Amino acid sequence: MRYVFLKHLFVLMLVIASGASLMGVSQNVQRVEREVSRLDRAMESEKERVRILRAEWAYLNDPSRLEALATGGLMMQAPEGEDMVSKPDALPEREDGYDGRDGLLRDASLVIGGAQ
Amino acid sequence: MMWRHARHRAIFIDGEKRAAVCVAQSRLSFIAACFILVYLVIGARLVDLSVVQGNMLRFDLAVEQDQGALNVPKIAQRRGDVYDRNGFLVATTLKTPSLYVDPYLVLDEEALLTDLAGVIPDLDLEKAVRAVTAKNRFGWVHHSITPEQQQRILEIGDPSLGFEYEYKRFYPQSALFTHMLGYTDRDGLGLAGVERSYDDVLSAGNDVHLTMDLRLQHIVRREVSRAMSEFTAKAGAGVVMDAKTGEVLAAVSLPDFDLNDAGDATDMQKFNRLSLGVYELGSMFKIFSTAALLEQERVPMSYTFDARKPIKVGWYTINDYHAQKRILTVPEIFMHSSNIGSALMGQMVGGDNLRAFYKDLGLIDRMDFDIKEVGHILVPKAPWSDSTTMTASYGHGLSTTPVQMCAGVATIVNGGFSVRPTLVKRDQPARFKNDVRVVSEETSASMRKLLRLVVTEGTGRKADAQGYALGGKTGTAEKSVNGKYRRDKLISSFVGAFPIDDPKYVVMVMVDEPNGNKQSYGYATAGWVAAPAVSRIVSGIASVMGMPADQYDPALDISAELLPFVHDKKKKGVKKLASY
Repeated sequence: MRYVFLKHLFVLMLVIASGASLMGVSQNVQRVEREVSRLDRAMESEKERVRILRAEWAYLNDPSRLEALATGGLMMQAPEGEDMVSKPDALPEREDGYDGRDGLLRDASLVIGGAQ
Repeated sequence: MMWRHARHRAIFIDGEKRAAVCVAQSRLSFIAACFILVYLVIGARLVDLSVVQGNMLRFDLAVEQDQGALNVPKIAQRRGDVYDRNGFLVATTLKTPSLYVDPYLVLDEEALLTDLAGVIPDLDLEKAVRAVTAKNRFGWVHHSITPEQQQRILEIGDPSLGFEYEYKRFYPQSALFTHMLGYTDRDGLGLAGVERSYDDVLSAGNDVHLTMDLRLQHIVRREVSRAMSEFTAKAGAGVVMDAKTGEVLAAVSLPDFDLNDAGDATDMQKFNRLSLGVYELGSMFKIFSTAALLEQERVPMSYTFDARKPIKVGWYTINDYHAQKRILTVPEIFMHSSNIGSALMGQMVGGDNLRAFYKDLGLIDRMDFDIKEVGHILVPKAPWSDSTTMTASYGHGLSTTPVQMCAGVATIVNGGFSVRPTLVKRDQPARFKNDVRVVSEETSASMRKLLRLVVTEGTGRKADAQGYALGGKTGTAEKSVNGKYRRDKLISSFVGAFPIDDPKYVVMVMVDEPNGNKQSYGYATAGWVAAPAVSRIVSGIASVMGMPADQYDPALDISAELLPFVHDKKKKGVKKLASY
């Protein structure tokens, strides 16, 4: 009889334990599902933000706007055909002998002086 | 314990009774176990819901607030984007918040409206006041607010305010692509241009890539609008087309309007002058009649026509605007744009042949184009009588659209292959290249020389762009108003191709009702109005495409070969006014 009682108790414990673990799994599933939907929403909202930024980028790069800024603010003008050369040899030599090969300007003051 | 005690006593119970007690006992204990289990489950669930889940939820919310997720609800299929040929965004759809108010929850109406007016500069105050003071529980305050405005409204923190999300079509370059791109209504239904003709593609969420180039489009728009303001014109149009593939690289119709406010546009602004509007473009047709003559009659350049006297055809007299009053060679007729000479050329080709030739160039039928706004062109009914043929050879009585005109010119100059204008990029870009030959390589080469001659020596000298070999033809036509041609209302246009040795681009500018100014000595003809605009567009294209001006050698100019056939009485080097 004692053996039967122990057997019952054991089964009961097993049932409780499996119930508890099942609950644990379902909790995990719910948590993960929430996480997924949260990430989905975050992604969606991030994508939306990217779209807005792309639209803003396109708006800021509107050629008429850039042209107005370049002519008004930087005193630049559109290049003419004569401003372009097909071969670099056609360029006149610089007074300071710089040939652009080192990739760096030797004297920054020359550049600033040139720009003025 | 009860059951143990009972079992003790059961030893003394025998037979049937004992068995019955045993069954009862085990049933009782089973039920008790069930109850215990149920209560355990309930208890565990209580702990789970209140302690475990509560904590997790609090954590989730904290994370969400931290990331500031917009929590945008999903709404319908998003419309596809439109890009230019280099992948620049020209139309997109954004989810924009719209602000509403629950008047029931408003505490201080005046303070709320002051706050809102501070955040939204273009707030419709009258509408907002109505929404805030209404007796219901919902009212729109403002549609489509920006993310920054939304943030500032959230900072106001008024509980009566709320947001609903809607899709809104946004055109970053506002008016740059107006007529070709088109626009949608508030529900996202395409109403014009590519937005309309590609509505099924776009509304399914697919992107569309145009053949147009944002940079060239800007240059053309700038120069056409400059020509219009310099000559106080009513309207204008400009086209740049790929001479080999027929891809439309730029197409501008002015006046235009901001696509983001399409609802406010007038009919004048909405009218598409590129493919819907049909115009008598006049002398430009001499390109086609001359090509027909060279192609079908195989006459040499030295062949002459008698342009000494105006021709009387029935009740109508064909005159030259700047009459040379002598016998002219083919190049002379073309460069001086002689109507009499062209009429005689047309007569030589014959009505049926000329009409068939125009048909091959796509100038007789309604154009098959990527947008639905295509005008029915006006052509005299076949068969063409002698007088119709003569007038049609210099473009009188024929109306066509600027896009069709460009396609016809592209066909003539690109080596003779038929060109079909396109606006939307295909998988195979050069779809129609080398498909159908309309004129021979020789005729095409001769026509390129003639077109160059117009710019170096003839009516289109103001179209010459320093350093680039442009060839072209002027066209000045009197507008027909109520069936009568008016000398004071002109359509001045110029169509050119460059580099003329092997044309890449066909450029056309058309100005509607220009008025002469001081600089043009009162002239409002194509040579003064449209030619300089084309010249500036050519320089612009060259700088954008990186074409240096030192590639062109005047000594090797292709028009030089035709100079022996030009017998001008005027001294060389003395430039006369470019006119018709």
